[in-house]
Amino acid sequence: MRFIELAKKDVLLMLRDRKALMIVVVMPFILTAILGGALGGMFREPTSAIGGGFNLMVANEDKGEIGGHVAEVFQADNLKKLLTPKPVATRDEALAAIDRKEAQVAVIIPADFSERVLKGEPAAIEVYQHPDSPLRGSIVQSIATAVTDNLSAIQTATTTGVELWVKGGFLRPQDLAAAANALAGQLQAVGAQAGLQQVKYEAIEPRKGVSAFQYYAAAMAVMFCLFATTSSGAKSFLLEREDGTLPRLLTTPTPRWQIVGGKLVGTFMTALIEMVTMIVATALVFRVSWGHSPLALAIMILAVSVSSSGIAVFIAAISKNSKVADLVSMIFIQMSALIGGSMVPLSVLPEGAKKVSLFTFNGIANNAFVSIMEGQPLSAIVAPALILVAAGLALALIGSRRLAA
Amino acid sequence: MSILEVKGLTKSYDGHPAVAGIDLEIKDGEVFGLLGPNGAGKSTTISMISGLVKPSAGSIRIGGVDIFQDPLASRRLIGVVPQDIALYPTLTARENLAFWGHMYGQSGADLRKRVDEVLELVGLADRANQRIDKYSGGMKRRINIGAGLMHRPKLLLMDEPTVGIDPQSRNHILDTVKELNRQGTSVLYTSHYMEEVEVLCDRIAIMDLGQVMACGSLNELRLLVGDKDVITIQANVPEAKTMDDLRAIPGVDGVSKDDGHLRVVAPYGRKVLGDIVTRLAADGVKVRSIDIKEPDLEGVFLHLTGKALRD
Repeated sequence: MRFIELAKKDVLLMLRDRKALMIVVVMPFILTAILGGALGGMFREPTSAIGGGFNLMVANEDKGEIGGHVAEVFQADNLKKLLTPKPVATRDEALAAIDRKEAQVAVIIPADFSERVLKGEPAAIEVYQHPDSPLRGSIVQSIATAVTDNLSAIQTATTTGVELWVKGGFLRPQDLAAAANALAGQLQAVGAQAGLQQVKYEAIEPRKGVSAFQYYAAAMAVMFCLFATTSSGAKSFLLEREDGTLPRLLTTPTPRWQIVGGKLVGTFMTALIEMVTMIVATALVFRVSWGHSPLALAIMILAVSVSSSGIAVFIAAISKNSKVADLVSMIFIQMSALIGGSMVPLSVLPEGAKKVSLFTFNGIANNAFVSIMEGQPLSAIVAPALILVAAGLALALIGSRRLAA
Repeated sequence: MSILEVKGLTKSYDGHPAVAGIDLEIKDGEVFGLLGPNGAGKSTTISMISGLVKPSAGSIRIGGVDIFQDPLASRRLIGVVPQDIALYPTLTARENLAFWGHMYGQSGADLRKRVDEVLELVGLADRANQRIDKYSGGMKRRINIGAGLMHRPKLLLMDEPTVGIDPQSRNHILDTVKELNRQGTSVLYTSHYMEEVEVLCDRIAIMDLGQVMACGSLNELRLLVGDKDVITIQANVPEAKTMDDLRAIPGVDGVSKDDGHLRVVAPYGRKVLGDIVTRLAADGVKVRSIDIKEPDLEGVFLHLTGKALRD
């Protein structure tokens, strides 16, 4: 098939073009290094940093039973993959361990914790974190919140139950205190066995974050994929027209659809090379984790390549010459990159901008890659992949028909 | 048998005819020259024959195939050598030739063999693996020709293939065209260099202002001028007024200038020579040499159009 030869030729020309190689390989890599290094503070702690578990100091200063139950929550089997609890006697020991970086987070159960709970007074579990471990701190905070919510429910049930007994004539006022203590004790036991143990690791795990290097590796790969396809791929159709090779091609017995098809395949191959090169290079040099689903990653690489090829062919088709194509491409890429979060993370953009970003090529692709990096299920990238492929094919079809005419 | 038949070929842009209803016929195995100044309509004619420009009217048959009814079949019969270098600069000569071979449907061992043959033919076998952006202008032109030869075309369309190159490369290209013709390839060769056309072509059509002014062999065209002489004068370049003065001399049919030469066509050259020299001296033109000879294509063109090929 002649379109394969045309595509091979275009890829070979791109690989021999130093300027194109700078755009496809070197520039995104350098920008990832600069932005990833400079803007690291704007990102949440990476999931990968949690790794196989972190040390949690649990200081139970409470002499009552409830404090003991709360301390046991952090020893639950379903949390063992996430954290390693280390019991200590006092608050000072726990905080000293954090200072020495022997632990990243500490939980303090105050001395009057059980007493306050039984009296129906507000009781708090204190959570301390090392400044370098905000994500771990938020995880422990979530567990502590779930525990106190459970205890609050028990307090309410105790109070309500005793009131009902008195109103119904089942309880004499002089027996009120003894009955309340007995009911609280039973509910406490039930809560310890059922409610508190129901605190699930899955339920409390917050949305994981990505590192600055992860984010910008994806953002730059996506942005420069567009650069590569518009500058080296589809624009070559216009350059060939200007250099006389396209008229010469049209004098050969190669059908026009094969010429346009070859250009399209060549553009797609350029996009693939850019994406794969970026992913491999950032993984090797910056140790960027692109997630643990090769399938999801492959789907998104293909979707982004199809989409950026379609955009590039469309721009080439509506441009009068290569200079106009350059201008249109530049404006489109810069706008999509800015709004789509390739320059600054979407998290720092205003809410309105965040919503608009979901309609940009960069925004859709960036979010999908971040989802993969966070380890979200394959279903998380199905919709964005379909949108990118559908838009890419539609634009490629419109552009190809115009170029072939 | 004709390899190319063109009838009533017309192309107009915004109502202005670039090619005005020309008829051409090239016989199998013939080298046919299309001679004319820039803007005569030669390139437009070639573009229409190669299928790049749609004619406003007329028909074109290549090897008996109507190029509008079966464009792909007709394109298999022709090789096109465009006026500008239409190659990929960062590919080697071998890669360029292989690519264009693929575009004509060649592949495998046949393609590789043909690449070697063409490299030999254009004299660049020893530079085959060098990127052509490292080539001289003449070498690029030779590969430009080679790309049009990959599929062994029946008819080779060459549009000004020697523009802007050194004499050595020009001679090589002319030798290549002769060799191709010896092997049986018909050639349509456009140029505004009359010497090339005189050396190469079996028949010549002289074009001007989109029309074929005359067509025939070199001798047949010379007969159009009759026994008129061409006086070639080597002198410093005269002013326009001097040219007009020379044209006003009774017995002078036409005057042109080119590369430090004045050319004057006159039925009886020796009779008007005295008047010409007197006029030049009066206008301060310093004459270095004078030559009177029988008419060439330049003289024919001058006779037909009243102007020089390169005016």
